[in-house]
Amino acid sequence: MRTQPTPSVQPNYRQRRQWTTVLIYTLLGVLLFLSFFVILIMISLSLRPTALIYADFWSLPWPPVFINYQTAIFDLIPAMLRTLLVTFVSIAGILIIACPSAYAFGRMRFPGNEPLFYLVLAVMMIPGVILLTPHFILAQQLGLRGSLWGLIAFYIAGGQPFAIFLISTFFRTQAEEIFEAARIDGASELQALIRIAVPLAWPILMTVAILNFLGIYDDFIWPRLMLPQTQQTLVLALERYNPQVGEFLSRPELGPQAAGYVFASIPQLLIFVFAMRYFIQGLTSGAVKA
Amino acid sequence: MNTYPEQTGRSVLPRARVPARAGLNQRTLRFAVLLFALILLINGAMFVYLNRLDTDVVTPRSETSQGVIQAIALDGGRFVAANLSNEVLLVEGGEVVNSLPFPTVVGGLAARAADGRIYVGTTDGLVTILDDQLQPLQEVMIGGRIVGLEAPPQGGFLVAHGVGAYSDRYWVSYVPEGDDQPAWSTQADFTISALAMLADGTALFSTLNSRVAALDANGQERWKVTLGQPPTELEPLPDGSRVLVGDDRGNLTLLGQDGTPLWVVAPTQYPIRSIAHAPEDDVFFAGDEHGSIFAVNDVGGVLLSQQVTQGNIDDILPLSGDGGLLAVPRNGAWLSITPQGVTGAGTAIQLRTVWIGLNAGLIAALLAALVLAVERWRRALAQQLRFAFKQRAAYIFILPSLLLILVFSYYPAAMAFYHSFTNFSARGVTELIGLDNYVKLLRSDFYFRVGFGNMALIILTNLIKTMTVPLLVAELIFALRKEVHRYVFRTLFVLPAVVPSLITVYLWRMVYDPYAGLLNQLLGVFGMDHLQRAWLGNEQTALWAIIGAGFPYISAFPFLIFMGGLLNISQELYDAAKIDGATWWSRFWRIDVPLLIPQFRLLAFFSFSGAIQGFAHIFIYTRGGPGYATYVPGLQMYYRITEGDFGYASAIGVVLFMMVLIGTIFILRFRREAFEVQ
Repeated sequence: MRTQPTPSVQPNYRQRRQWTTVLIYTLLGVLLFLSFFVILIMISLSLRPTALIYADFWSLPWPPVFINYQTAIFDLIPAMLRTLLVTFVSIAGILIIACPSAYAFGRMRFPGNEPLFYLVLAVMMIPGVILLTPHFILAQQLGLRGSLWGLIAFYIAGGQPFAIFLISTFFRTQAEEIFEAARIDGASELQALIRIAVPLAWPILMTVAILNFLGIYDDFIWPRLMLPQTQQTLVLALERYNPQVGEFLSRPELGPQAAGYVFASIPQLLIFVFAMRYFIQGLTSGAVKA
Repeated sequence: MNTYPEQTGRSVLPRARVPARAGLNQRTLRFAVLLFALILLINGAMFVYLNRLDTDVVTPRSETSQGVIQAIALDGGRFVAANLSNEVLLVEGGEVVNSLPFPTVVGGLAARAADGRIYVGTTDGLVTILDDQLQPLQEVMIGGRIVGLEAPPQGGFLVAHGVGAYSDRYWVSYVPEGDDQPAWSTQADFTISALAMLADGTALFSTLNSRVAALDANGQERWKVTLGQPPTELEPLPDGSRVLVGDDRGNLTLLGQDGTPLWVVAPTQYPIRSIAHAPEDDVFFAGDEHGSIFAVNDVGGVLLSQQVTQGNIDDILPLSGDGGLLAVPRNGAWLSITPQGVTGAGTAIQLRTVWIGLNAGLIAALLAALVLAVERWRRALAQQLRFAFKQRAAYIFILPSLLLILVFSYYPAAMAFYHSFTNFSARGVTELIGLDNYVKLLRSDFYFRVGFGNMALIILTNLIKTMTVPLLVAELIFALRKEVHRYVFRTLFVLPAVVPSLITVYLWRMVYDPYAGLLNQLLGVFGMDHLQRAWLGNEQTALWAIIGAGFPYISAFPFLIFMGGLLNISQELYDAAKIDGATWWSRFWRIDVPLLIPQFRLLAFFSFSGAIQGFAHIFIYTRGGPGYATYVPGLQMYYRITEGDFGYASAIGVVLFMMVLIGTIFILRFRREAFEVQ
């Protein structure tokens, strides 16, 4: 290929563009550093004994000490397990209940399809803030307060409309021919759903799972209203987490606290490593707009 | 019946071609007319019958009360009553004929019709025995304060007395006729709230810790039972086979011989103040604190529920003779109760239920018959039903979701509106109070006003934070020439999102820590020690510290949305701009901003409704403090819920809902205008 001649460009143009490029990279670098600053401090603190943090805040975590993690993980494992139980059972429940609905709304014709679908969609217009009080009352009436399963019931119900909306939209785009072929082979609608529609819908199911994970994993107010002290989820346990390990009775134990925060970030980190693709693709596709 | 061939698919011919008469099924139509006639007939008959049944159960009498707290019937149409001015009154023929003042509050009043003895117990521990003309006969010093008094037919009196509020220093004592010392005294385990005695000498009492106990003729405990609420009234049947207990929450509980609860009904939410039994009709009458009278039959069916006055119904007295009763309200005219009317009223209530059900059924049948009578509708309906049945799997598929949504979304949303018009709370009686919650919230609630101001500031800053830095970063990355660099930077800027948002809140709480917080440390490094402070503990800085948290505000969500928007802008537009020699600045304003309007709108919606609804982070940072410096309405709602003040919390929720709604409409309107400009 021939290099393009650029005769019309003024002599200092290239230089100016270089300056611009340098400026852009510098700005990006500074912003990136600022974005990570607090997180880096957290990691640094988590690797140093609290005594040293109070002695000199800025020294580097070298050599790293893992005693904080030992304390934090030992203390927080029950809460972490509870949180993971709530999160994964809720997500599984949402998907298991929403998939058949989404299939019916997306791929089946039946009297009342559209009005019922709008009935489901309209729920998304109800802001959560108005539901807090009646949910609390409902939980008390149904005896769901105080147990993880009660919490899960509310998450499964609350996750339905959005999941149905996303999944049914996806089901609608699937080719009719495959389903036609299955029907000719004598497959029932349930078989078509389990054998064809769901396996082909993994990307959207992952998206729904991730979005619900992000919402449920660090939900704070609702579990606080629902759960007793002995059944706290992870973010609840971390709120007042201040293990009395050291000699700083009146001061926060920064080291184990920071380690607890890092520990609490691990599940989401794993989700991002394995599923960030879906998340970024979904949002940058440009399809998301009002 | 249907004489047309099965129609499959839709006819292209207009339906109007079918002759009108042939379109109607004569037999079904005749059936419909018959149904209609039946409805008219049944309604007419019921109307006449119910009108005849409606005899007045409660009629006013000539006696009136002014502050009467207790009343007892003597024989010969005479009554003795105690009032709030510590007087005992003798009422005869509708007039007060005599009165006797006492130095302290009358805590117990009893009378025995047989010998005309009247017993008055006062809070100074004295029981005064009067004759039927209110002439003092004897005084018995019991001690403590008298809280209950009974005059059983066998003579003497039963008295409940003690000291202290919510203490166990309360006793039930029986003083035989003519004595001035109790024959026995039994300690109760809590403050006594009601007392009763049977002809066989069995004493019954209830205590404020929700217990009912029975003592035998020697004061030995026979049985004891714990109920759900503190009893306020006890009414045993004369033979002791049943005891009806009224409580503080408006429940009526029937206890069997050994105290086993047989049934509970809740005719009201207000405390029961009086109970009486009408033996001839075997109906219990109860009066509550809110001026209502209830009739309950022996199996717990509520036969009557009628509000007759505003205040307490302090006593219901059986009258000798015709089997009637008398209700004594605290103020106003006394009322006669005719138990015979109640049985009719009970039938009427039951009949009314049947009537409504029958009507609903008949009307449904009529509508169905009319639909079926029109051939076209009949066929359409049959087709739809066949179709629905064929696709029944679809209904089974959507059923679980729909049930969950109805129970956990629609029902609570409806209840939120309903509760906001009530004073529903964990304690007290729920009443519809109209707009009172809203009036209080918007006009006189200081916390709400402060919280609203804070919320407005948070909304504004939230919008700025979402719209500026993420867009800047997106533009900078978009300006990079190398695809790989773009990808790397994009991923790096999304990476902080691995820290859950609440953990970020905890981190920033650490940043603002007064001892070893990052911010104070940084200020120390730059030699600005004088600026160090407890950022979240200072009224001046707390709100701004909360707003400032999250710097530099590059959240993954708006960043990716802007990134996606920019990538979607056609390259040709940029090429054209370049040819025209547009600077980056003018390209940004002329191309990027207008074409990113959908993204702006989406983010405006999310940050707006997020700022109204999100208060978890404020709760974690400051709990709304110091003082009320960081209060927001959402947080106030949370506190109201934890305090059990659900009506008010619902009203706050509804107001916030309205704000989100108005904001959404505004943002959508903005969209239409933007379209029109284009």
